[in-house]
Amino acid sequence: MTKVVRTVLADGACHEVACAVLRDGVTSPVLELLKQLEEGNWPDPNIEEFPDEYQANTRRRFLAHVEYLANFGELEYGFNRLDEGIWEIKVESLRVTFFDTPGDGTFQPKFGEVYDGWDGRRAIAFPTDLDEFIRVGHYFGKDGQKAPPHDVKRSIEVREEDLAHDRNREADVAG
Amino acid sequence: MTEIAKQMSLVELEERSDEGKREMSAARAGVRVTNLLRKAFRLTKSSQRKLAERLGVSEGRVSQVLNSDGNLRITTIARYLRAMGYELQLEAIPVERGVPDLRTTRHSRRNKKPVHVFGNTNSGSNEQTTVILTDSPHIKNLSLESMHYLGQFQHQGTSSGSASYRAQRHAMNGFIQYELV
Repeated sequence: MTKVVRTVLADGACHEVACAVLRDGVTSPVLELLKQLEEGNWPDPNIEEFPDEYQANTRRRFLAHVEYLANFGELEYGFNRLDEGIWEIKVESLRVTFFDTPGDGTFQPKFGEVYDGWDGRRAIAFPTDLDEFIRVGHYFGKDGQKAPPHDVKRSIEVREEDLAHDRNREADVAG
Repeated sequence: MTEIAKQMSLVELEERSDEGKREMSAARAGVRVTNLLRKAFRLTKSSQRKLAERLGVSEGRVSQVLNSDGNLRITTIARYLRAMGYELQLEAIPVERGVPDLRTTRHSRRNKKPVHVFGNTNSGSNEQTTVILTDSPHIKNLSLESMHYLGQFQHQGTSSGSASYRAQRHAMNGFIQYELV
């Protein structure tokens, strides 16, 4: 079986953050997103003219969030909890979903604690019990109040496709 | 676990060019500033209204700052942190070979060093707390080797929450002693 190669975005004291790989063992949606951002061609729903020069900045701010998470194991802003253990990083209108895993193909959803947020509204604290490996899987542009259900569903599918590679490797080692 | 863990990360690759280094540094600073402000706000259990009152600004302005991308005036960051009980400190770390370390300071010619006392009494009564005396205000940054460890003693009290202490330096019988005041 071909080894699956994941592109590491940031390798810090708390986490390794890498791009999830789809069923084909090659494609990483977030890697494609980063290429689009570099060229200013990510189809941001709030932008009319492309290439958008500002997207290079959005790309670096996303990487800075990822690096902070890898180094400190937490985020104070720029994230949301979605469903079934899927979380998202927010940079302007860009949403990138992620999940955590101990690296053996398993997964346990983390929920984060509820507290009174900076604006007086109920907020969810970033979970402090994430497993070592964080994988960024799917992305979409914000064009409404809530994450579109099909994007949440796709994020869960990407997680399953990615974790299957780890499970296959574990099975190969055991076999 | 990831197969290419030994290879450079994308963040490291981003910083191969001079422009990449500069722009990642700027993006990193923005993210850190907002994380810092939001963390201070969350842990001190501040409210938007109280903070606005303390700063003499509108709640809308507080919201704007806490919801920013971190691209704020340095004086604004310092004011907000101070209003929440923190002093902003700046540090430039050398990351290129051959640049001097800006963190070194002139050796003090003064004998009298300020003494900082670290230690909190936990909530509850009659709890003993170890208090450490040091001449550095940054106990978190001190290693055992570098810490000027001046003394340790027990405090017994009934106070709740955190408590701060001040120490006074005395020369008695040829020995330097530190006392809580």
